Amino acid sequence: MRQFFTVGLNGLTLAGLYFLVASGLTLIFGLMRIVNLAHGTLYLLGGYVAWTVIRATDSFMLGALVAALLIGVVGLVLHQGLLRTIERDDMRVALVTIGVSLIGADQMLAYFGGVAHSIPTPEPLRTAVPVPLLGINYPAYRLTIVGIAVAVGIGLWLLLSRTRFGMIVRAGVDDREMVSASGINIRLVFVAVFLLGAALAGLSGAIGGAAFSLAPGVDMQFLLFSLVVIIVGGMGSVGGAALGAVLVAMVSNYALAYASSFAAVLVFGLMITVLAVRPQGILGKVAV
Amino acid sequence: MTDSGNGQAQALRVQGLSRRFGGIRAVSDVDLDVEHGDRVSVIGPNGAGKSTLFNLIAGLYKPTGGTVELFGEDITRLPSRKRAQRGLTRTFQTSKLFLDLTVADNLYLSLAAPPRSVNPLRSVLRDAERSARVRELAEQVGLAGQTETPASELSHGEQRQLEVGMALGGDPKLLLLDEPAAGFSPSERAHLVDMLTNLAPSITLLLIEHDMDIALVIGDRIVVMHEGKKLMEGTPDDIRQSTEVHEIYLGKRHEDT
Amino acid sequence: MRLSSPAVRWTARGVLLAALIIYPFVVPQPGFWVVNIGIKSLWLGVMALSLIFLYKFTGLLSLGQLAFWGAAGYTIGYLVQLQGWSFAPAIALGIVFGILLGALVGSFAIRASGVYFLMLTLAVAQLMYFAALQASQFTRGHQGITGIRPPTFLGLDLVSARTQYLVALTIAVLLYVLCRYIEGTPFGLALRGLRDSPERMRALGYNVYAYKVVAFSFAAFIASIGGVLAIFYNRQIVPDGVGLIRTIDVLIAAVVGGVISLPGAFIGAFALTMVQNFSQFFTSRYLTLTGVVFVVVVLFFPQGIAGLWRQFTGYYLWAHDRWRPATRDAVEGKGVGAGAAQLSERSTD
Repeated sequence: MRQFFTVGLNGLTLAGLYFLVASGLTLIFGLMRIVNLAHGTLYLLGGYVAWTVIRATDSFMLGALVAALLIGVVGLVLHQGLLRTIERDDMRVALVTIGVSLIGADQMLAYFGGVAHSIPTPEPLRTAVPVPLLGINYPAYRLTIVGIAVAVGIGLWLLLSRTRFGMIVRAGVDDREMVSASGINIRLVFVAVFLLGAALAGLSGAIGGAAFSLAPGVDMQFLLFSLVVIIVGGMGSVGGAALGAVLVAMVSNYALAYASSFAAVLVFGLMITVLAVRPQGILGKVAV
Repeated sequence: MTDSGNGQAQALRVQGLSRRFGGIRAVSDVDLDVEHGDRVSVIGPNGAGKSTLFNLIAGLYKPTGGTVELFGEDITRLPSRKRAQRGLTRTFQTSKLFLDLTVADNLYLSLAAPPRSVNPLRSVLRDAERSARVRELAEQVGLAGQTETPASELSHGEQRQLEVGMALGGDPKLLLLDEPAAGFSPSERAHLVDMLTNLAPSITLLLIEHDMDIALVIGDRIVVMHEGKKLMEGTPDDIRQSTEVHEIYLGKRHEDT
Repeated sequence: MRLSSPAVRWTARGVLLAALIIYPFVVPQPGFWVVNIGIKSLWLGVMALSLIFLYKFTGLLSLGQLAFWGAAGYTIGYLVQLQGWSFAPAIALGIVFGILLGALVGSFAIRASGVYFLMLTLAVAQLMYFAALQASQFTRGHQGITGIRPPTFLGLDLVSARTQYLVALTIAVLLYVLCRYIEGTPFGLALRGLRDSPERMRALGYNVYAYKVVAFSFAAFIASIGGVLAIFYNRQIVPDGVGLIRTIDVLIAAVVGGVISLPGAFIGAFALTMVQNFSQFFTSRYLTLTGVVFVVVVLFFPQGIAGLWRQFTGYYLWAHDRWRPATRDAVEGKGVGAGAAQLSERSTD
């Protein structure tokens, strides 16, 4: 029973990370129809940036902040430098970002090597704390990840539902032409959303790098799982990303614990079951 | 299906057909009976719901209410491909041709469609029987000299002609033509009228036409649509004499210009 | 005589085929030129052919072809190496398994289009990678199934580089000819038709969904054959073989070769193989180089090597046309992404 709960909490931690990464991906897709297949690369790069800064300054907060900002800027450069001219051709955009992910993976291997790095957990969160009701102890840091994911989720929800910016984004998701026709500078909104999505990936890299390791291949793992998360949850929906993250992380974590050979197969099964019933994903709106 | 041959069931029977798009009633509560071999024209100003009615009959849209019967069989829930297999073929208002393919290949695909049993892996070039039929069809719609031209290189008028050719290729029992003369030159119109008057009598024809002249020449019976509803139905003479039709039609035309 | 007349084309094809047959007998260092360049280009070309077939005929760009490659490869490796089967039934079963997986993936993936389809197939290929790592009782996990000795078939000893090259060449040519043949059949015409206008295909009475699933399964069949050839070439199958880098290899071969050109599959595979083998002389980061080449191709030469000539003449026309802005929308609308257009019901009245 203890193991069952621990696995569940591990799944929840992972779900938090998947949500942080996938929410950026889904926001960018929802608004701009851009599938950024270099999103996993932004996660890993964020982790490495944070790792470097934390090693130099010994401040986790500073590392996470620098990672979020720098990766936000990297995303911006990627969007403005490479993707803007071909923005209307979503296939080419996806292909270019695949190329970028390949270059990114190789360059990160060159600078950070093939061995796994790990960001030291912030001092006050190193202990295990008892979890109410479940009767087990669980690392405080991992619980914090879940907390951060919930906070970011609520923050995004407030941003999208309560602010003028969010209103424009939501209107843009429904009908881009109408928003640009109404005189709003949709271009500026695009830039802001791309920056936000990339920064979230960078921040997740910093947070995830202290719970899991940073190594070649992690970029692809996070790309894959955030893709599956938004396919299952529904493209363009932040709520869908949250639901998808929990489902995917739980299925893969319980499978790894109890039927480790078939974890990927079960995630595949989850994906095709959802698609068979709802091709647009659980909370997806548009038929694709 | 079973009634289709004995001539008792109507070719097309539409009852209470409705379709809303959001809050707009594009088609509301339309009844329509088309007998075997009838030539019926549906006219009305732009936005009257003609094309929506048409797409409901052809199965591109699902109705929000009402039923469609084809030769006595309820086809309201059937997808468009099953309707096509029962002898209902159509043209599209905006051409939906296979632009990368030649005229001959476009026509071939209409001839080889299910339920005809065509060996899918036997080279098209060896299909002498259908190749001959392709040439016949091309001749019929006035594209005999252009069978090897890609559809994308045809003029607008020629593309419309190909549309009609493909609808004929499906061996229609009920042929739906959606504004086939849109954008035609006067000589192309004449050719189209000629072709439609010479259509085999066994083919039932439902024609949507914005242009009154063509509609009244081709149709034995005219249905006038206005704001999603059937306004009236009658012979071409009835329509010519109706002041109501003149009002909505000519009034509308007035606004256009 | 015109450059495009049938006589010239058939002669050119004959000369090319003769050159490809003589190739392993005349090149120096057969271990390198026949195996590393020749056989590798052929099986990678078959994979690119699988991708291009699907794209050319259905407009769907798949990143999942390696999943079927891996399904066939792992089935063969498992049955032969871990279960002691002989090759013939193992290969047959491997291909069948590849096709079945293709039909399963196809039956849900082809309901999506455009970039959504791309994501789905990428996810499938990556899940295959993780499955290969995890299901170690079948796949031997990280180390993979190694030490597979190519068999002797009908007196053809596939351990010999030349024989293996000629067998791979024969299969590649056969698959290529098959794809060209399908182009001219009612099935091929129907696929091209549904790429242009699925609504029209439905209005004619065709079952668009079924056609797409069959096309996807056929592409999976080609990919499974690629998996068989690769088993002989690699003599092992490891998870990295179905990893993202290999997925991108296939994509690069197809896109660099020209994504709507069937011969482009082999041109692209050959170009990529050459770059991979020779880049070590001037850079140690060949993945970065491949990535940069790929991005440049996608950004500036979307028709790849096979479309270079047409594109240069196209640039002339484009430069000529750009002062007539009315035509621009029409051109952009026909881009690769046009397939992603969503089905929205709307009154056309």
